[in-house]
Amino acid sequence: MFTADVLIQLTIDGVSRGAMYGLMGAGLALIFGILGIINMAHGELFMLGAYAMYFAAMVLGVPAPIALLISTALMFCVGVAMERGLIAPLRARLGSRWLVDGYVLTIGIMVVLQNLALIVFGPREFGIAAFWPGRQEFGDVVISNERVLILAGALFTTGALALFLKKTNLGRAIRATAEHPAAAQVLGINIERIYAITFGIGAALAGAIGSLLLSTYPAYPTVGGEVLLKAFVVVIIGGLGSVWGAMLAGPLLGLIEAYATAFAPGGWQNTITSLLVLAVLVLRPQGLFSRQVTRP
Amino acid sequence: MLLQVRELKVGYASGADVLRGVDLSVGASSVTGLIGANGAGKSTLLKTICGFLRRRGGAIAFDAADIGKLQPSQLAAHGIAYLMEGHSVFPGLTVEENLILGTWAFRKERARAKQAVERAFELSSVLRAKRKVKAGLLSGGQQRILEMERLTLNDPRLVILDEPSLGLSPKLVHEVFERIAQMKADGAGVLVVDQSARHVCAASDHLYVLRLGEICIEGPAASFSDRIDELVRNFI
Ligand SMILES: Nc1ncnc2c1ncn2[C@@H]1O[C@H](COP(=O)(O)OP(=O)(O)OP(=O)(O)O)[C@@H](O)[C@H]1O
Ligand SMILES: [Mg+2]
Repeated sequence: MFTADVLIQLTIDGVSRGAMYGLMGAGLALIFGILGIINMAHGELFMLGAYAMYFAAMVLGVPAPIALLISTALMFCVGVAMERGLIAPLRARLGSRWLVDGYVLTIGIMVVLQNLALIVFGPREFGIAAFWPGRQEFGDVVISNERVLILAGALFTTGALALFLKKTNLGRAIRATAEHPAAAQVLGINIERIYAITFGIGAALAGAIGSLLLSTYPAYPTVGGEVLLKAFVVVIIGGLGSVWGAMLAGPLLGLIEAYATAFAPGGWQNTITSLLVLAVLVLRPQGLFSRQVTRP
Repeated sequence: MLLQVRELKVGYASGADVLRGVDLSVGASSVTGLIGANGAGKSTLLKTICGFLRRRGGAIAFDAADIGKLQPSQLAAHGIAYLMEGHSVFPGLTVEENLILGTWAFRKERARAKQAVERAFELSSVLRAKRKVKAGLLSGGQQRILEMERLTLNDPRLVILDEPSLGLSPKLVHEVFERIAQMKADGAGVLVVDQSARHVCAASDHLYVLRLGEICIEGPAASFSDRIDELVRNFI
């Protein structure tokens, strides 16, 4: 019943979707690493990206790749503006006691954005069937073009993010600021700028994924909720605050989901995911992929 | 004078003043030592000079220019290097990445930045052997060597050190003070706070003793060298 081509399809499906979860989680982890807060509005950044993509591609008729760039750039700006306009003033006012308020603030942003979307766009779903209709055939294996597109987009974005963090001056500065902000400052790094840019990158990632997944998740006011949940799962499995952990945990979660949907009876998919999260929390609370580096 | 602190008053949050009018200066090509009991306010003074705390009164001048409103992130551009209290390596970054970040202030001058990092590796066999190792996996002493090397990558004019020898083996303590002598030979002014009064006195040109937020004694370090034990007993 489950032939090789089905397995390959499930694997591609799982990895491509999972890499997207991973990138959502990586954005959450980046922001958590720098600011110390869990951005509860991360799903809404995904939602805004999806709307932006829909309007650029379907209403304005911009070619999909350019629409993707527009929506990503737009969401970067939204992220920077959110950090500068809302989060930074709160941090400046409250000093070290701002964390709880910061957390509540992102919940507030989440609610406001959801309702704003409801007022502006209504409850309607804005989706598309596929950016790239048709399919590819490799012998017995048939893959829809849309899947190829999503997989390529996910892998490209993951690779680009990893290279950026690992190899560029700005990427190193972001990691350094997350680990020891005072020491980073002393070396000349303007950490306020790093905070804003990091939030912008997290938002841009969420927006890019919201755009790429428009055929899977149409844009509607509360679409962010489900995606945020996936991102949380990824962050727990990968280790809170671990960007690399999230990038690895994403595809793993995607694969488990894909296989669970195919092999387990209906309804078991979420149960299996929940059991995995429980198991990680109990057996390896630091996450599957994070290695503890301690100070002597 | 390279650095001049006048009548400096500082405190935390809404508390009383921790520094109650401190005067201190540091010249170029010289080492200035600052000693004092636990809680005297030594770290507070250094943090204030480096922009982590705001003064309540007095003045801080670097090169005769007021730096009382300096942000910590502007230190490097001014040519001021600061070894803060405690650890300051980035544990999840490799030794090489830690050093590269030490060139952040002049990262746009790529050749110079690259050369500075390579020179640090040439000078230190310990760091060379650990180039691609995460800094958090180094021993405490190795981390301190990394911090000291990272500190001087951009040829600072003023180096401010808070307890550089804390927790080190006697051999490494010796190395740290040799490094301080090297900084002075390279023309930098050094302000060093350390627990080991004897080492500070031996390395310094000028010595200050801080007590309850005020300078109680100061003078050429040589004038204290034969009565350092007495000094420690009475004031520290
Ligand atoms: N963050 C802070 N908030 C409130 N008070 C502080 C803070 N840091 C230090 N203090 C207080 O300020 C005073 C001076 O502390 P400081 O750290 O400057 O002393 P120190 O001379 O460096 O001592 P040590 O030798 O222990 O390093 C102490 O009474 C201390 O309790
Ligand atoms: Mg101290």
